[in-house]
Amino acid sequence: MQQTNSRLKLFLLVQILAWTSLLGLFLWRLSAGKATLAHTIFFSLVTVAFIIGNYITLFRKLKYPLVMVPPPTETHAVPPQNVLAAEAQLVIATDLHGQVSYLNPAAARALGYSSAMPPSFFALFPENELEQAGRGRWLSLGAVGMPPGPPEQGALRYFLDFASSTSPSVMHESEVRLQRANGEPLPALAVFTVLRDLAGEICGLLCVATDMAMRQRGEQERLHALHRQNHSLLNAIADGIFGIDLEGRLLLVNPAGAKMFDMAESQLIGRLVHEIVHESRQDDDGCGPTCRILRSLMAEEPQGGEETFFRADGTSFPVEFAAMPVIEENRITGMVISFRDVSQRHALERMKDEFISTVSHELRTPLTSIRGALGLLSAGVLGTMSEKASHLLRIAVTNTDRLVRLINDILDLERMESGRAPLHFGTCDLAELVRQAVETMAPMADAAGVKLESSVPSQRLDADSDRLMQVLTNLLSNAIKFSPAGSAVQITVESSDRTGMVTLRVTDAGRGIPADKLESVFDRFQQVDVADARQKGGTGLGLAICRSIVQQHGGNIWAEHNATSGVTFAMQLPRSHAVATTDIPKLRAMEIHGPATVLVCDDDPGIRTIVAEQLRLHGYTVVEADRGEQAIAMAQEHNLDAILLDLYMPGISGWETLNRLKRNALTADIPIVVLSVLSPSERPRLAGDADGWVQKPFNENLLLNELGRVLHGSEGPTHILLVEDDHDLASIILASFERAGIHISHAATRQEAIAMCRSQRPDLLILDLTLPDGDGFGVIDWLRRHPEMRTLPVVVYSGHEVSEREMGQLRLGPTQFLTKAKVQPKDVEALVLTMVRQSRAQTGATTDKV
Amino acid sequence: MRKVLIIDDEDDIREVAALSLEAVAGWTVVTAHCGAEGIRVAAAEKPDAILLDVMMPEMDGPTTFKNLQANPETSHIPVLLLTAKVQGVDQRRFASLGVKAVLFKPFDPLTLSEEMAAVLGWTD
Repeated sequence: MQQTNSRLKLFLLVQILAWTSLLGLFLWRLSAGKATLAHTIFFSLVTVAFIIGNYITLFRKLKYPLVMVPPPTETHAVPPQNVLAAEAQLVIATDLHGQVSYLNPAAARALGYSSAMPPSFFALFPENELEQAGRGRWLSLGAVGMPPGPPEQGALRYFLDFASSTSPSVMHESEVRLQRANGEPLPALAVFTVLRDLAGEICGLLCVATDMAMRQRGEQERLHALHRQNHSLLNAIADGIFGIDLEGRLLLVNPAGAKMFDMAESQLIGRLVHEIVHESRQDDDGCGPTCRILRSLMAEEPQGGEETFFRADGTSFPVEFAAMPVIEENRITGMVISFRDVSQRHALERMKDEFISTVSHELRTPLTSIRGALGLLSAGVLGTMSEKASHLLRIAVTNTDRLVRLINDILDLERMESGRAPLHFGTCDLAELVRQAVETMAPMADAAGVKLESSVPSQRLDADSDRLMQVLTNLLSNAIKFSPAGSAVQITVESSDRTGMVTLRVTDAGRGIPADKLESVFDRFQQVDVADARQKGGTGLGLAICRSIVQQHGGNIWAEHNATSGVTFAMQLPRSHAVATTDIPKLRAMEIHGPATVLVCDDDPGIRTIVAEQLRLHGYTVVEADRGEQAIAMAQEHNLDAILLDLYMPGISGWETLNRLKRNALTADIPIVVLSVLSPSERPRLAGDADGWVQKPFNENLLLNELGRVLHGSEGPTHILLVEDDHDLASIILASFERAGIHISHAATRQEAIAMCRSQRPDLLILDLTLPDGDGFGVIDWLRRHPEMRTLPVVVYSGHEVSEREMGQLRLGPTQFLTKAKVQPKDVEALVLTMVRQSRAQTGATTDKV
Repeated sequence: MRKVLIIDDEDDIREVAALSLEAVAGWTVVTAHCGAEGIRVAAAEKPDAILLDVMMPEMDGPTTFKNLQANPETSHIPVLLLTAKVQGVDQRRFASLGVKAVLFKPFDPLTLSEEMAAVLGWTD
């Protein structure tokens, strides 16, 4: 800019010199008497032209030192900003003379110039304010760097100076105090830009100011309104609400909640929630790893259940609670627990229980007399009677029996379905149960001339043996009833290792069940043929009871139409009770190569115990320490394979403990995994870095994965390839893996996926089946042709159910299939982490063996 | 000749049960309509077994049983509960009492004596 100024000045100087020499010439001519009229006129014209011409172009430009700038690529007269947007925005435009060229209605109103225009720009922006503003902030949409040096002239010139030399879209933002017509100041946040005309010449300055006071007031009002709304909501809710921070301290409690504890809100806020609800608990088991509230406080997913809360005075009340983590920007910042006093509901249930018990008793008592009397008469114990009389009595006895069975069944079903008859699980042998059932039903079978054939190998499973017997005898009883004399009832058992299920089948050779009734036979009081009920003495509830029992075991029962004749009732049960409760096949815990010993160091006993338990469940040997000093001592004494270290502890901090362990030759090799609420990216530089990092709150999978990695993973971080064309879904999945510290890359097409696999073999592949340029099958096919990819673990994540045949085509190494609608991204994360752990353990094991 | 004492507050049940044991098994039966009377009769008659109802007013089955056990004259007599309370929670409670067996109402009058004999180990 200085250059252009000097160029102008040089030009002017040259002109002046020229004119001066012309003047000199003229004067010389004049003095020599040789100046003609023509010369005079000529000279005057030149002078006039000189003056006028320069005045119009140069002088004005020197006053506002500008240079011709090349026309901008955009012909914006107004900066790219929605100027007319809000009412609170004041728009003021001025020309190069400081004359206000535009004032929007909001500005006019705010500044008090509704009827007349302000005299000048400087009436609105006192010079000293502009200077102040000159020191404000430059916002640039593409401009380079900050303006050089402090402003020399008035800020108006300063802006124009700077703006003229840089890109068209430069803005300057600062807090200024505009001046109202009445002299009062108006604090505002002002954004200045230059206005250019169509030729690109600067023609003025534009200021868009936001009235700070109004904005603040507006915001405050909104805030107040929000507060009031929140407050009235919380006050109105009948359930108790706890707002909890990451440490488990109470930040917020609503009136209902405080009332349940008989305390004022102020007495509860700031205290540890677990203390509030369980402190005065008189149990001797205290609150170990099984404490549901403690676990909820550490969890990252919504939790819920029933618990007992204790008041300060030791009295307790049963609650149903739901705990939800609060997530802001992908990070857990706290938790909300809502809870409800269910003592009334419990009381109601107790009443119902008692009622059922009483009813049962009341019905049975008179039946006893009836049954007894009729039985004796019918048997002829008190003398013989006519045949007709005898026959009638038999009818009476049979129906009395039927009534008793009906009462039993109804009550049984009611209790089971309301959960008041919980199963008692134990280990049983299916073969033994079948043998007993056959023995029990033998008399009935013999009487009907039906043979019972069973070929059941020994099969252990977790079940309630009494209830299972009930099902078996019921199925056998039905089979016998509906079998013709001379036929056989067959009992067979199949078991599958892959699904962990055992299937038992009872097949008869009777009339069978029509296809449309195969489902409905399990409904209450449904029999295939009404006549059957009376003849066979059934209650119509047997199968309903069987279904209830089987379902409570986590299994399934159904009827199959036999090709030849009769019907097969099939019952499928999980062998192990734990497997029954999850939908996604939970892969077994990884086999550690040799028992690994891990030290858990955390001053919080709750967390320490929970972590230790989880590790033990997965086969680790665990030792515990609650202080840094203890951890260091134990590290030297014991032969540790890894250390889990909390950072914030009393005594010597986690950082210091980490340092000392790494500096000591004896312990420097032990891999250390840090447990901290900070994320790995936040951790400051440390001498002797941690080998692994798990961010609290963490879940089991994250911890185990990280531990497994430091113990076995020597190839560096896990690398996962996600092949997914839906970008939104991809970003969700990518975000959830970020926390696990796993390197995950994303390919959106088949080509990309293959290219990425070619350059680096991933540790695991997450594959969407539908891709824009082909499909998942194509990717798998390509991978299968390369020997080193053939054992790749794959998670197929598809929008539709995959058929058996398709599954076969998609398998490489260990492969799992998930349907998008049925699983959450979180479940994908858990599954993937487990698979990665497994595959690492396998590779670790094989390399160790070598 | 076995002698059995039936303690039950329901007249009809007492009658039918007595008839069942007498007609079918040929045993001698004495009865009582409440716990207190039952204890008196037991001490006086010294039966070989007691069939005891659970739900009775004033003194219920379990309490009667405890009193029978406390009385040296009757503590040796085996007691079988005869009850309509068939639910699991009740069963567990009865099991902890220490009675010989628990029989359910309604019973089959033709097999009641057989069941009792099996539990008591009476082979005749």
